[in-house]
Amino acid sequence: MSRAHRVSALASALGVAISVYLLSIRFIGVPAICGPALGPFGGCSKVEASAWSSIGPVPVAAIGVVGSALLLVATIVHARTRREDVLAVWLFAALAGASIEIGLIAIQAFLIRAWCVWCLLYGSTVLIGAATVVSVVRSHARETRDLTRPPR
Amino acid sequence: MELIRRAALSGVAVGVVGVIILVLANPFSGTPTPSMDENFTPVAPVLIPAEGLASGHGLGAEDAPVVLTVWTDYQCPICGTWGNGVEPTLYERYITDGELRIEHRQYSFLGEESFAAAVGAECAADQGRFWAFHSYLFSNQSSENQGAFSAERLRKIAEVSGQDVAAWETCIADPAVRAEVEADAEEAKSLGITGTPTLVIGDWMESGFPAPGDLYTRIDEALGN
Repeated sequence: MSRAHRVSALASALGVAISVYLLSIRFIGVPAICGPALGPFGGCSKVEASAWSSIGPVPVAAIGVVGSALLLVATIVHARTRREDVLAVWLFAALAGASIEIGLIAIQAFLIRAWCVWCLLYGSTVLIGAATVVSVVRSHARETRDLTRPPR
Repeated sequence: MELIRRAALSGVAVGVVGVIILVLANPFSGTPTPSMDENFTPVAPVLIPAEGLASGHGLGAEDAPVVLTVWTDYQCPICGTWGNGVEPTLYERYITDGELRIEHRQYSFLGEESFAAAVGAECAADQGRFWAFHSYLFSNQSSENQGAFSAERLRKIAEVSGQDVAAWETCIADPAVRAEVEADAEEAKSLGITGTPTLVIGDWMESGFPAPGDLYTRIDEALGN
């Protein structure tokens, strides 16, 4: 497993853990480890109570669990097989996730006007995952180019 | 590499569409967020019960065959989801038919504003207007301990929920009411309650709340259906 794969696997596993935690706060009702003590990043309850914490009946945290789990599986399968179709699925999930995360960060900043530390940490795992898959794609592109280049 | 290029483009496109759906569609389906500026106008509750259906700390006929006791903290977001979303559903399904009564209990633990809100609710109960105040609290939740349930805002909620404000203000200043709310929290702890909302029907107790179908089944079983 390359360093990029290890970083992506770690970030995705952390993403699964954070989103499961956020989901359990929502459904079990245990108080989040958040609040005024965390200063500007302690607005978890405001973010959670906002209209943007779910799409219809589906909590955004549930989408996070599925997305991070998909990224984790794609990372591991690609690390073992190096198949291009798996890399395509990994890249698709990572870029979709990163685009949504950038949108969610903007929603916290401009619409909710509160920051939730757990949401930001989760977002970091997705953005780090996206950066690593882009680096893997770049090296894949280099390898493909080298293989197709005629020998001198 | 063509496959990779298409994956990259469709990944970004799916992400952008997801954000657009979230931004454009949701504000129209969610509960309005109360304003935090000085000109606070309380958001009206989703459920305004019919005359005679709200009494004491409960909603529903006093002789209803099933009593669902709900322990909440007024600052807990998921309790807000319960109060603004689930209670109105139960009202339509069971309470108007006289089959269910919801009894509210205070488990304030999220900070000073939880206690202040609960004290306000207890003083509203003294005037026989508990449920109106209680519903307004859930409709006007915001960040924990950031002023959503400040003294001034609670006073406005008392006004719009139809309290005799002078009597209500005298009541909230009484340390005995605060002691009552604290005793409720101690009772919740002694019952092994660790989170809110916690639902109780007879011997069944659950923290959080189940999916609507499971909750209906639980109530139907208690009704003997």
